Amino acid sequence: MKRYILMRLLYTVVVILGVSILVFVITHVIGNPVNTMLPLQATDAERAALKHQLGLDKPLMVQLSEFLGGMFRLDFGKSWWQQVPALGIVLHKIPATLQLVATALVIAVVVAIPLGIIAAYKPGTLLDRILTTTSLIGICLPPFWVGLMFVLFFAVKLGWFYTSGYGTIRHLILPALTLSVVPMGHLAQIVRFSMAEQLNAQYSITARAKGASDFAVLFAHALKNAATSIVTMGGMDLGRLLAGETAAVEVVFGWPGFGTLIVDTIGRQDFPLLQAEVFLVAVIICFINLAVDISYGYFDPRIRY
Amino acid sequence: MSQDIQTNAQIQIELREPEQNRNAFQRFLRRFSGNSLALIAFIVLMVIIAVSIFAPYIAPYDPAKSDIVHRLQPPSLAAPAKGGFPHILGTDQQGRDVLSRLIYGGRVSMSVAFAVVAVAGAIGTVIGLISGYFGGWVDLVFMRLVDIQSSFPGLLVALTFVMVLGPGQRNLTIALLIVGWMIHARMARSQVLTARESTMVESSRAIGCSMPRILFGHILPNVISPLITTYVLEMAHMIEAEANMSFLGYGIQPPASSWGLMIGEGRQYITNAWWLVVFPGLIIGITVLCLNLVGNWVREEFDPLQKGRH
Amino acid sequence: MRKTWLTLLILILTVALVAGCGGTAQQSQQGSSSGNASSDTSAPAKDSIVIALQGEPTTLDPQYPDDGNMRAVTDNVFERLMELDGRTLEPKPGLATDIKAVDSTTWQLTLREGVKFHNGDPFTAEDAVFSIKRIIDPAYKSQIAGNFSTIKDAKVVDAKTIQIITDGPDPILPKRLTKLDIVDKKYVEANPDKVATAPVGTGPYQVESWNRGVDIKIKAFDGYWGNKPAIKAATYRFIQEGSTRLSALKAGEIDLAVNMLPEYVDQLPAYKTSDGIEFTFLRFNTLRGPMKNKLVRQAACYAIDRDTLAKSLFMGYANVAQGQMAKPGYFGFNDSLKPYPYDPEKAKQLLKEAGYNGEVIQLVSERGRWLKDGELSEAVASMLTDAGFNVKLTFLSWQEWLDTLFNVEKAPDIMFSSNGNELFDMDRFYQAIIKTGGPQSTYSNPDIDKKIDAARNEMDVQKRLQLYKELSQAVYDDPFGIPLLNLKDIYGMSPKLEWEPR
Repeated sequence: MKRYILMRLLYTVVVILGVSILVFVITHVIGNPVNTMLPLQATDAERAALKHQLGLDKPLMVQLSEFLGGMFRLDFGKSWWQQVPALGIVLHKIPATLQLVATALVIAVVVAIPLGIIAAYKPGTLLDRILTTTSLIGICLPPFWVGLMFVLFFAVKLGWFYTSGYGTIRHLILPALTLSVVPMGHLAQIVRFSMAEQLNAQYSITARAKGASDFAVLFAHALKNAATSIVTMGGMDLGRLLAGETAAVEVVFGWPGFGTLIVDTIGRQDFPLLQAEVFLVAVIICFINLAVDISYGYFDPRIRY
Repeated sequence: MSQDIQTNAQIQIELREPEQNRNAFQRFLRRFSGNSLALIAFIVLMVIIAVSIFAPYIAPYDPAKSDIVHRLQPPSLAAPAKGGFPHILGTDQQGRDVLSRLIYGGRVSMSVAFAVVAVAGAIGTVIGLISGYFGGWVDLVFMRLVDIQSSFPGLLVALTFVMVLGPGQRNLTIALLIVGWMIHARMARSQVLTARESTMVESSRAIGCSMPRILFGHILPNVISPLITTYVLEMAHMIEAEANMSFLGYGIQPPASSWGLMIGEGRQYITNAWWLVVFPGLIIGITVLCLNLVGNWVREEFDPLQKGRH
Repeated sequence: MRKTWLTLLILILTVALVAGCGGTAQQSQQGSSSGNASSDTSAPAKDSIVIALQGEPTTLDPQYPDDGNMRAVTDNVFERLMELDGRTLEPKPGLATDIKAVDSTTWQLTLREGVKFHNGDPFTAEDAVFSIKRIIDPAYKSQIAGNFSTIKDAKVVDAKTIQIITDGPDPILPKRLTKLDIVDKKYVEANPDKVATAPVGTGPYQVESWNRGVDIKIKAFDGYWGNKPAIKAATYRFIQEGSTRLSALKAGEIDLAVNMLPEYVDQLPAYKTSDGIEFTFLRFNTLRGPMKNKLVRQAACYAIDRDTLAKSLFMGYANVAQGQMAKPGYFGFNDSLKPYPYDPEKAKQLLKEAGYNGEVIQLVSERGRWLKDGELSEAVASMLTDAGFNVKLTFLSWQEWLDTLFNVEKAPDIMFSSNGNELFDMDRFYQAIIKTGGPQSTYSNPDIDKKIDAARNEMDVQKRLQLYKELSQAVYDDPFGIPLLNLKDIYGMSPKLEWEPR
């Protein structure tokens, strides 16, 4: 187990390095930051001076090694836009997004798991069909559009919630609800399918034959065995959302989180800030994946590392 | 070559009941038996694609022609005062017909998604096939690359590329290509790993068939249906990705339009003119839903392992 | 070059905060800016308000950027030697109590006494001179340095007197000073890293906190030399989307929102409008390409239906520009000019006469900077197309657009732009956009150049006015471009807020 985690951590470092280098190369080889920072009638001398100031006149390999050196000290340089250390800006924005995503996932789990179980309990019935189709529809609607519809209905028409902003629970509900739709659909489907599979499995049938109540069968056996798929899916959704997929929804609701920051970063072509964001995203995703893998051992004793 | 076709045909026959005495269309329709939802989805999808292709013949108005006197008109079945086809989905902030813009916008959305899936699918599949067939360091290199990209959210990569290249349809397509190839590679590889061990491939190797011939002549045809599933589902994924990027302002740029951009541009009028936002969102939802239903159906119908899962 | 509301906000927000906001709806019915928050009502006055800006300031160093979001904040925090009178558009005393011309290139200012900065430093002549020198220093690269291009030097005469030296006679120097924020020399020199985030000025409000990405809070400055504002504190929030600002206003989350769309007016709880300073216009490239031909340019002038643009696209919340980039009240306004009439047939005929054969005409624009700029560009492109022009419309990002605007080599055939004349004097327009080699100029005429320079240094008001009348007629007959619309600013307000834009 320890050896496995160690190997995974090592692998994580490789992935983070790879992603960071990839983005570095994209931005520094294809992109030309000086042009975007000095657009107004800058002279060639001014351009050269800025290049020098940013260290962009050095050979690419030197720049890359300096960048990587900084990365190990968690120093991505100052944001070109805000002139303060880039990582600080990113870390400052994470809590708002975390709050949003956590609420969204809680809503998703609370709604989806019971619905999935109900559907799986009587597969093929009308109820099952309605639930599976609805969850599929939920997955297919663009989240930012769902958010706009919520705004139109719950905030503008009914006035129950605030349309935008950050701070209170009335601000939080609509964006969280919006973001919960897709994970809810995913989870409901996963629960429905893996539970149905588990219920058909030999041991469930054995358990039923032994006379345990249906309820006990469902929970004791099936849910625990379906848990690996649920956790995998939940982990994927969590990673996806924390990694900037919330951007469009945050923009719709004026939520000052990580997603909004990414959109701003792109608009302002702020390379150090982008590198810090990429780094953080890679770290978050790798650790979520690691946590998901480790949880397998807990849910399924057959898995040993 | 004819021998290959025979071999394939034989395998097909082994997998499924004999169907050669029906014509192709009947056989095709028969596949939908018991899944009317998938059939409806398929028909709707075909209609959307056909409308996109034949947009100039179908759209009642020029999608770029603005008429600011008649802007923000709500949906109506009554013929407009100036004559012509009714603006059944209303007019937008420039007085352009929303229906016509949906039809032309679909053209852009669909062609971005299609181009991405076609190219990314081809590249990814070839890489996956080679990677899975050879194994060893080739596999290691490709799959680590895939892993690295997978731990990186598509949106952020795509935005980075657009930031560097500038927005627009071509660059958006390139960005989504770079994001989209690896899922095909991964899928093709896993299919090849299974197929490689089959008796047929082993015997082809034994009789000395060349590598490309085994790969593309024997393995590919047998793994094609899961790959098609991936293509269809990725189409759906790319339509959403395009909408997302265009909505944020980093995708399609006006005066061109796409469904996502229509929502983005109409958003500021949402309290006055709900139809600017509601209809493009609905059509994205419907298209993606149909693609998903058809994709799931292909998977269940053509992949024997998936059969009877529900 | 600035969003419609930027400069007006300067005036407006200062007024808003000083004027106060009533606690009851009754008061708001009176709708006057004179109401004291606690004058005739027993209801507790609301002494803090929330204002929604369109974006977050990039810095709070008031001398550096051309950023209206920042102005909305810093105009309440900093003061200027001269302040602009919102009604007459003329300068009035600010931190200087008196200004007079000593000779044709020297101005002498008497400074107000007893003024303190927020950190307790007294305001001195050193501070005034430092502020002037800082903003004109080429190394500082102020984005608004163009407003002060005639200032050569400034020096301290005595503790309460300074002199400003210009590079030639400059009749509008007092107006220029209304754009020059005064900073604290000691503070700026000692805290170079804090200037952008923790500004220190002499204004009625001081910055309390700036929570990046969330809000900026200001509160009344106890040591302010002038009348203390009725509103004790204000919070600025940044809401990019107009529809979101609207919803927030309706939900009572905010008290004042800038830059509302005309479409929102009937949904706003309360609103005020004011004539903005922005003039949208199309700039022709007269140096090369199809627009070099005067007939083609005139055809374009006839092809645009400005009345419909104002009435339909802006729902009446815009005025048609009177054939020039000025309106009554601006120095240099020519009341004998009328916009070209809308006459597509005449346009087609002129195109024919000019021998135009459907060459592609590039129309370059941007979107998101000014109210409905993208929609206006699309509508204009559509009108030009109807008149027979083969227009290809391209939208650039703001940075690319700026780069194109200021680079004559990259100049497209037609460029959509907007000009906000903050000094209400036509000098800046002719210098920048008409004079050969001006930063945004794609026009060249030696006679006109001579008149532009003569007008700049002409101290006789009547002669100067005459020169500008001749100039405006010349660039009308041989069109430099098409002045389109003068947009109105629409402010959404909470019904509880009592405030008058000017």
